[in-house]
Amino acid sequence: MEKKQKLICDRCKVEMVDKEVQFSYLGKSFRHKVKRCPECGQVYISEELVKGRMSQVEKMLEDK
Amino acid sequence: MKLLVKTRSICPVCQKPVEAEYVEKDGKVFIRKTCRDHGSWEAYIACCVKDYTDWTAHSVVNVRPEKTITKGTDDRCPLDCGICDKHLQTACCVLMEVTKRCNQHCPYCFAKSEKDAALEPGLDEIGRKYDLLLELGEEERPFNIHLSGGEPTVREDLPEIIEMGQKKGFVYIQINTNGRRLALDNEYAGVLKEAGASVIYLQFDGTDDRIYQTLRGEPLLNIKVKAIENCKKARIPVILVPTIAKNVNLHNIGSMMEFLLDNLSVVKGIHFQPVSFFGRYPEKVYQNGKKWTDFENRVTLFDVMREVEKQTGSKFKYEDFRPSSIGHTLCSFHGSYINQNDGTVKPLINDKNYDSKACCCNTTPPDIMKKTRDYVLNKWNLPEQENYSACCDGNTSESHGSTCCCESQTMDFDQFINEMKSNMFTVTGMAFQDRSNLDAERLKRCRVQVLSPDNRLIPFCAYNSLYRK
Repeated sequence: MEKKQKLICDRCKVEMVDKEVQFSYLGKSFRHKVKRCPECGQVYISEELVKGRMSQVEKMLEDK
Repeated sequence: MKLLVKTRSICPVCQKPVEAEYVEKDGKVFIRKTCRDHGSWEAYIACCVKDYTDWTAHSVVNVRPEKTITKGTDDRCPLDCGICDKHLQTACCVLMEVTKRCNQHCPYCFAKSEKDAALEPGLDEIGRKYDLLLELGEEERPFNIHLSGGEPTVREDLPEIIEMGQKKGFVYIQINTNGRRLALDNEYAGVLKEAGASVIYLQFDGTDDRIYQTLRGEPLLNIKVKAIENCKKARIPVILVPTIAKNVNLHNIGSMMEFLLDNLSVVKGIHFQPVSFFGRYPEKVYQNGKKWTDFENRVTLFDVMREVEKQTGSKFKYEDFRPSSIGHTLCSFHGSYINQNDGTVKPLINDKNYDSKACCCNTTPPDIMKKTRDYVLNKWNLPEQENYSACCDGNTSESHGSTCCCESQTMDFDQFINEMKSNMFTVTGMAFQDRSNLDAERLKRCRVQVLSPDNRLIPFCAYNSLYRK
């Protein structure tokens, strides 16, 4: 069974919650659900997202 | 007459290296050179001196090849190609000619291909050539491979050749073809896709059979349309590759652009190639005293970019285009676009975001090469699902009505990726040099190289002007 662990904001010591946020790059914007601290607004972006879809979008938009 | 830049070239007759210069004359730009024994040449470079000076002022970097094969001498370029130790730019794409045979006999053919069989490398030899290219390329990202000929699809083992390249680690393999076999054999596009071909690089000279009659010796438009249809069924992306000759199809550019936009579900770009006078061509230059004329059908990159704007009613603009950030500014242009629902197109890179965010500063040479080689890999592909459509383009500056597909008026990553793959396309061009307009400074920076039968890497223009046997 998958083990669900809580993510705690180190600054505020509170549990981070799912929140849809907006990313912008080269004039384009995208939304995605990530973990966000309800107190300070810090977000956690997983390695999977960075190396996966985020990187794919970056490569598609960039020039040579 | 005003001198713009000094360079070096060769005599088109004896091939001896000579001094050359770019000059302005009547507002236009020409490259001039003189051979003591054979007279002087003047080849047309740009229709307007401002276009030339602005374009060549773009900043460019060069990434030297890690390994070289021959020893060069500055004033002998391009007589020591191999790639030589004086070469300034590693290859982005390497052409491997897998046959000299062709199922057409075009009046214009840079490779001078014939229908008759000739010796061609066997699978084992091709395997060794792939290994050599892995060794010569950068470890981080191997060269892009362009399988060419002759007509590569006349080889029954082409799928094996593609598969072998993929297995050895070449992530991008494009197939240069006239499309005849793709049109006549409905299953063939699927076979190439299954083997691992990345893109079909399709000879496509226009939307009128009179053009094909002149350039290819027969009407071929139906063949091209059928080949594209079969590629669509097999879901393999197509790039249209027109050879542009001034009095043959320069006027047809607008219609080609319309064809591109009508077929974006499978055609991901158009790559214009102004005609080069090497290999087989039915045109001649004439001598008037000691002075030689230029070819009547000469077209430049500047002509093509200007005609794209003019013939599309400024839907596409000259300002949308940029030279590559590596190599030499006079060799190519490119623009990336998104087709929008309102019938307009939007350039991905424009003046607003070009200099600050899309340049290659702060990246290492291997990163620059990876990014350049990945450009086609990332821009020329199709969405996972067929007929994908979304109602907006992820641009937050535009407002969407209540019928918008995205609740928050902004797409999520998956929607955006699919939308881009469906509606993104490129408009690019590459000007090859022949003996008349050859500039050694451009050759030294060449990033499209041919693996010769004797396993040397030779700049494409030097190979076709001087080395092809």
